[in-house]
Amino acid sequence: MSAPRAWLRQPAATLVSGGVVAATVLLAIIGPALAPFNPERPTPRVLLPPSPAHIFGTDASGIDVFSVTLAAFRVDVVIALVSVGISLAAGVMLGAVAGYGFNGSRAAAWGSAIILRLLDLVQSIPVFILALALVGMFGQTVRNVVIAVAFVNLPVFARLTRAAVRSVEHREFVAASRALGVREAGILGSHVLPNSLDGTIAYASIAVGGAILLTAGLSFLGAGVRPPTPEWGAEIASGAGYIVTGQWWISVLPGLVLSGVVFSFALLGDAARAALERAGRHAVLPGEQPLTVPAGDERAPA
Amino acid sequence: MSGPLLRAENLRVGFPDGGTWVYPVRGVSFEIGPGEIVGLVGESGSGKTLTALSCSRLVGPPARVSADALGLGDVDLLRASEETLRALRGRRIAMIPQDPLTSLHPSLTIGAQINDALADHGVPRGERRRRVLEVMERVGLPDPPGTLRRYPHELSGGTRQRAIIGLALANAPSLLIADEPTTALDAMIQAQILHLLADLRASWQMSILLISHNLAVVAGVCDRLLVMYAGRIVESGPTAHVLAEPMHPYTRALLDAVPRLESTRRPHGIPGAPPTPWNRPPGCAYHPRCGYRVERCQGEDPPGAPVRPGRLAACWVSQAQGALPVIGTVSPRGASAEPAHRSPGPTADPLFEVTGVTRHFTVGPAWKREVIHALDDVNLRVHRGESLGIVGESGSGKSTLVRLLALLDRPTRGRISYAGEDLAQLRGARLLRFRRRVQIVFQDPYSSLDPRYTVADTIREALVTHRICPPGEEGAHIREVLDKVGLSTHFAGRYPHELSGGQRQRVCIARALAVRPEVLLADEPVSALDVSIQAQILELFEQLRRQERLTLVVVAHDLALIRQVSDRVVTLYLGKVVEEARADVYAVRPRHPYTFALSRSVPSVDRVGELPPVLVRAEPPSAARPPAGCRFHTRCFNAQPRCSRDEPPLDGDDGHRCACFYPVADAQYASLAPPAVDARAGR
Repeated sequence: MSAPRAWLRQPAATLVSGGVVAATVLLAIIGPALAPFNPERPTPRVLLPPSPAHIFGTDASGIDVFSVTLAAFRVDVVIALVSVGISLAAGVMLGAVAGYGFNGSRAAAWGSAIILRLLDLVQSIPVFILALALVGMFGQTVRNVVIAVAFVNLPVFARLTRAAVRSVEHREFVAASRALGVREAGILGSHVLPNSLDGTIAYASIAVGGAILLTAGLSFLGAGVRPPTPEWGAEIASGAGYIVTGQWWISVLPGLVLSGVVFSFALLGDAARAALERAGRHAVLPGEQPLTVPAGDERAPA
Repeated sequence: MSGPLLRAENLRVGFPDGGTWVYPVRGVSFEIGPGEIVGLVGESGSGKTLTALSCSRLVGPPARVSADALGLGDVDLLRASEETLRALRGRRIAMIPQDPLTSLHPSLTIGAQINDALADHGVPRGERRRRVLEVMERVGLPDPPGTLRRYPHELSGGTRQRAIIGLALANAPSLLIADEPTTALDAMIQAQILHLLADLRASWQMSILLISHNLAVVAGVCDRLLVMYAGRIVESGPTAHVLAEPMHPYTRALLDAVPRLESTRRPHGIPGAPPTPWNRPPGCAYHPRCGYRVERCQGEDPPGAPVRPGRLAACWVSQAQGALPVIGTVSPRGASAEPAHRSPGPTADPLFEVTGVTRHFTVGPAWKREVIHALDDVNLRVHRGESLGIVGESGSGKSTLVRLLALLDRPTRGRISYAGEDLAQLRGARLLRFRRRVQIVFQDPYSSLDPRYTVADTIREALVTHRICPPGEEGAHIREVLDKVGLSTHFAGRYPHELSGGQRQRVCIARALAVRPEVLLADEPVSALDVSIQAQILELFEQLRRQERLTLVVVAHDLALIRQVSDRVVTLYLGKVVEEARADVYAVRPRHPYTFALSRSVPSVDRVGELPPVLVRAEPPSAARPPAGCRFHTRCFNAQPRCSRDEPPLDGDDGHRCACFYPVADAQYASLAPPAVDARAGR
């Protein structure tokens, strides 16, 4: 089956969300260059409603809201992608170590218990408060926001990986490698982890959406990246007070863009998970054969 | 009602496949009369299950079911509305699905599930409880009021299968479709379930369609057989006639593949694998695997035609000659009736010495912690060059024992040594050397290969771990070892999901052989495979034993199969060795009542219309609370008061040891169950 046909068979939601995500990543690269006005310099044209010149209107400082929204792609999306990348890498490592039994090793059991309690500790503090505290303690820089967002996401990745590792660990190909004399770390790295990552990777896409939301949320509260850096949360916050007086566009229009991006990442994550499940169905579930597949024992070679 | 209960004529099931249609079932015609038990036999992928599902119209889109006629009594199943069909299912036609472990709702009690089945068909509330109990009584569920309140996970496999049958019977259907109802069960439970099916017919006039890949399972209970291959029925007729004189080479090959307890004749596998609906060969679909093929078979697909009265066969050879010529005593491909090969024979040189080994598992949360006695004080030796069989029911501890031997687990107490070295002391290089000398093959070929590794990657891992060859030269070794297990080189690049079950198991064996081990441990190596494929793998084991001078330790619950591959057999019951003897002794003269019952519960293709006797009722007690005294006394037909007090020691000379105060007496052999004669051996 050729690649374009496979693409066309995807449901419309997947195509749309995939398109939005692709556009988002593109805008993170070239967004600031496309902005028709300077997104950081105030002008006297304050609180103009949307018009052909300013399609999202202008805010209280006279800055073009559309330009801010475009330029903010680089800030929000990059923070989200980098932080999710960090928490994915660290979470998978921690989760693998916490989940894998190393053939009943006592040290591994202790290590696992310690990692799990630390994760409990992180997860017992509300995400937002934790991120606020971290940024508050270490300062409002982009780097610290990245670290904070990565830190609060890490436990989820670690737990997802741990659960998958624990189920893969009991499959017989692991015992077969052990009986061959392959070292435990080697088994973990070459057999267990590669078969444990599907769910975690699908979740990463959903987590990027969540991370964007968290980044914007921190800025909304004034704890994120500092103004005048163009940022969705800060822009929404700056317009919040004007909604009651009728200048709705400052908050609502960047907010809609934000929602669309977050929603698309979530949809794409679901689609990725479904696709991975389909691809891995016959390979991953032992001995299971769906009744609707007409082949019994053998499959036609691809 | 006169005439057949179920009638299918030219039934076809098709699936769309990129613009065209493929037909896993292509023109199947059969009838089932009232009160008749019909067996549907064939390998995996032959279309048995799809045929059965079509009979209750459970094959949904994208599949398309068509037929010239498909009727249940006076209902036209092809034109019936979904509503009519729903009323029909359960009420007039019921199914027992394949897997007793996953077919029950895990979070509803057994009683609630039967109750729901009754409610769906309008049984009034007041009457339901009585009906539920009645159903449970009928299928022989132990302690009906108690079992009523239990959840599926609290029941053993056999009890669950009874519950599923109960569920199917709740509304007293006239046709029961049983799809491999015993494949997942031990021989003793299998015998009980087969008896239950026979009873249902006798007391209820219920019609049954029994699906199985094993001719021995259907031989005892079915009136007629339908043999299916590549989506068609290739032979049909009364069971006794079909088994005594098969008219289709495929039936004959299936028959030769069944391991027999009483015979020394080896089972013969059917070469190759059944075709998929996509790559069916032209002409007769079976001709590439057939030893009788003539030129016509390659060009023309033979229609099913009467060969004798009441016998249909789709084979040019038997249609032309009125019978299949006998070539040798087995199918021509299988060649000779060679006696069981027993070389290179055991030596006095023990490789494994198992001394007083106990393995307990602690399970459950702290407040109801239980100790599972998987193995208790087991003593055992494995000699160089021998083939040792370990047999027992599920939960007997046989897999635990193999895992201990493979050093995948460590004993709670006791000592295991290999060639004089204590396994508990092995570290580093010596451990690695042990790993190289002792290899293991697992039960489930679907889970014992990494789905992301190609066949070559899997074998390469073994080669690299033990530095069998210089880096970069693995290719030649991989080809060599694939050749040893009978796989051609082009399998090297395949992924496990592209292989059939038998091929996967060959890859697992290849991985084990790649490091040139001395001992091959095999944990139920064929129980997940079709009978036809089982025989192939057993042949492979035998051949490897001769050529590679391998010592084999094979674990299985099937005594007939163990008998074919072993020199010496050990019986385990609830973690204890109860008997140990040469393999041929097991077939004719087991002394322990448990081994005796086990050997008599093996269904046989030579006993048509006769079910294996149920000598031992119920199921083994929980390994968390093994009975005092002899652990078997709760189920034993010879038990005396003493058996519940004292534990019998494993006594006897080196040739035959048995742990029993009251072993099976000579008189009992004849009275309890005469062993069947091998009806076909004389030919």
